[in-house]
Amino acid sequence: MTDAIRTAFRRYQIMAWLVGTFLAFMAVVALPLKYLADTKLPFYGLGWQVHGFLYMGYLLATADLGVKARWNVVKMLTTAVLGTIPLMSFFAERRLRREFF
Amino acid sequence: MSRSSLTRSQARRIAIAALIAFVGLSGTTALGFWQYSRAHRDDISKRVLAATAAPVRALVPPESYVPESVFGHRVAMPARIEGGRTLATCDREQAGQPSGCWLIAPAFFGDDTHAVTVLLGLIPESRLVSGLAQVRAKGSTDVTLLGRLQPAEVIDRGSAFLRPSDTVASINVNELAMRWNTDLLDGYVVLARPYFGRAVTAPLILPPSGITWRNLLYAWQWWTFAAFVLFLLARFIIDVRNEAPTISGIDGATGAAREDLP
Repeated sequence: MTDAIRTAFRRYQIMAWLVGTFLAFMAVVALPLKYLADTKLPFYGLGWQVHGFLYMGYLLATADLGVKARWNVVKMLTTAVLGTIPLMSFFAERRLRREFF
Repeated sequence: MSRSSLTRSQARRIAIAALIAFVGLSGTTALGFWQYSRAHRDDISKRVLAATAAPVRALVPPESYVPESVFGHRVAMPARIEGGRTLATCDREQAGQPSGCWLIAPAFFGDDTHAVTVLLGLIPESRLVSGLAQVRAKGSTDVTLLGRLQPAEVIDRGSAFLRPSDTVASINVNELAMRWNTDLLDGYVVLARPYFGRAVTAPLILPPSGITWRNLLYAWQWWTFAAFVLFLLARFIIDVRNEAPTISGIDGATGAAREDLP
């Protein structure tokens, strides 16, 4: 594995964990609180906004890694989509870690 | 294989990918522009002020609050003002100066089962009793209601026990509905010409204006997704063009004879 791929993977890893943790919090805590307990967290709207920006970073990191590791489009798209499903970015990151190391 | 020419199979795959990308690109770009238009609300107030007058029912859905987007909208409709039920709401200011009491009454419209509060005019507080008596003496009047729509007030002006019985603290729809014993539409209409007393020149409440950063940022996000779709398409085209040539001049995907092999 080249240094360029290793660096791109580290960036991807950071974004995957950030997106995964944030999305998990919003989906597992904030959403049920709002719709099941009728309690809207004060930063609820801002939370989704932040998630959107983190996901933008995740997309860029995925594209960067995909280009450097010469992924095909299906793999790139799958990795990108996994970032939108709660907890699945952890799964994607783990799968790629096994692939690279 | 020549890099400049494509087999029929490759061309078909690229065409399908381009079609899918076009759908994705259209959707994300359109959503971006939609958010962008929601972010720039500078001209909403101007549009509302200039809009053609409409009946209240065309502006406010049944059982609903007055939407922000129609605050200040011009209203025109036939109605019957029930002057006999006029109430006053006092301690009003005009141009920063204490100016007196607003006179309000229900105006029935449509099938007469619904009413909207109408701001009839302004009188000095010293003339409250005589003014109320005069406007009530007018009784019911059929009019073409011309004015501007405003949201109901939510201000708290102290205890009802301390006020004269002919007055209310504010244009609070729940309180007025009970006082007038009728179904009242949320919000009220400021008459273009006073029905009684002086014209009310308090500033109109208009739709919120300015840039909403949240929507602007959402627009930006959608456009980033659009860029990602474009990137994926470009990547796909590069991948397809770089595919290794298949054996013996036969296209692996379709089995068709290849024309572009050396």
